[in-house]
Amino acid sequence: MNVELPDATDLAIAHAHERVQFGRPLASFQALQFRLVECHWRLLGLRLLVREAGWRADRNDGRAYVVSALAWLYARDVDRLVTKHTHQIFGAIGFTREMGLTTVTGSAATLRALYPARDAAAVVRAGRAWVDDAPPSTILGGFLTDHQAVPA
Amino acid sequence: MLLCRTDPTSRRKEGLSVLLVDLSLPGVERRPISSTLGYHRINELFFDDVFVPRSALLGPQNDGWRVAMTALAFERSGSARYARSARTLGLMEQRHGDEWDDTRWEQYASLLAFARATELVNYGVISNKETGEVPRVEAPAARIHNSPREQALADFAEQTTGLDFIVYGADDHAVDNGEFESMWRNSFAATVTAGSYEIQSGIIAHSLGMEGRR
Repeated sequence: MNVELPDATDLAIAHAHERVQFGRPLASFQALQFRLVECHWRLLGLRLLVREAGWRADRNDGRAYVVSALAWLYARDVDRLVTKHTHQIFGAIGFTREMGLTTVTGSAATLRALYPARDAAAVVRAGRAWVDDAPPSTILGGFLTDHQAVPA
Repeated sequence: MLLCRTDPTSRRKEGLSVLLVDLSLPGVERRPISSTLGYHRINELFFDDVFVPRSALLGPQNDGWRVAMTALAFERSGSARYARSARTLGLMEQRHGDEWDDTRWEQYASLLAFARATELVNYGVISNKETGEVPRVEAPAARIHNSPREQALADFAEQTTGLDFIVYGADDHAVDNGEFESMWRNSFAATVTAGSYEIQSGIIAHSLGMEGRR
């Protein structure tokens, strides 16, 4: 999904620059710009989260599972949003195979169905813990440092 | 910090300067505006024949727009903001987590995920500060993470925590000294303050090569 969503966004940005309506490229309409902008900034955060999960997994870090679960949950949310925005940019032509958009948004949808949010949420829930009574001021501070087991 | 027009013949971004004005100077009047954001969160300022010394000028004269944009790029990423959100999420879970069903936990876990992504983007801006780079695109990206996240958190709180948390901080019955209430109340302003959501979107659109129309 980390590959598919940027693909969909790049396709939509390229299309918005190329396609002219009312004598102007789509990319010059602010309402459409803001859709692409949201895809862009959501992907920025998601990419960092996915990289963090990979970085921790490489090091057998005790929070690798939790960060992977968080990355997956966020990827699902971002995916729904990117799918909605990019299809809206393309309009009806986006549903044809020639445009390539449905290839990426379709496979992302399959991944969403295969790996439901409840599994990732269960990993997150099982990993919650903090040392003293006051919740910490960082997100990862609220998780066990040695959460290796994936709940059934 | 006052951004003002110092060349009367100039237009738009040109001819502006940044002045650091001492608010105790004669002629400066500050009137608090009571609002739904809290008893005293915003002010209106009046400057009547205020004399400002040359030493108050920050940066070059008539190039204040650039000065302001550079300063705002740093101001927009608020480390304290996301730190408070993480705490508030934890407080909610502490009080109500046991009552939540699986669907609620999914929503909560998704909020934690969004909050972690937000932290990471903000850390990027902090890293820019350390290296001295001006985070022109990174800062709006961080800001634009912070504000919808705060509002998503407030929405979640409304659905899950009941009425007790909207008691004002000064009241004896306030929950956690009203920390929660203040977050919830101010969340409505999150997409307005420190450069509106639309302004941040415009800056990012520009960085993606999408031009505005005037």
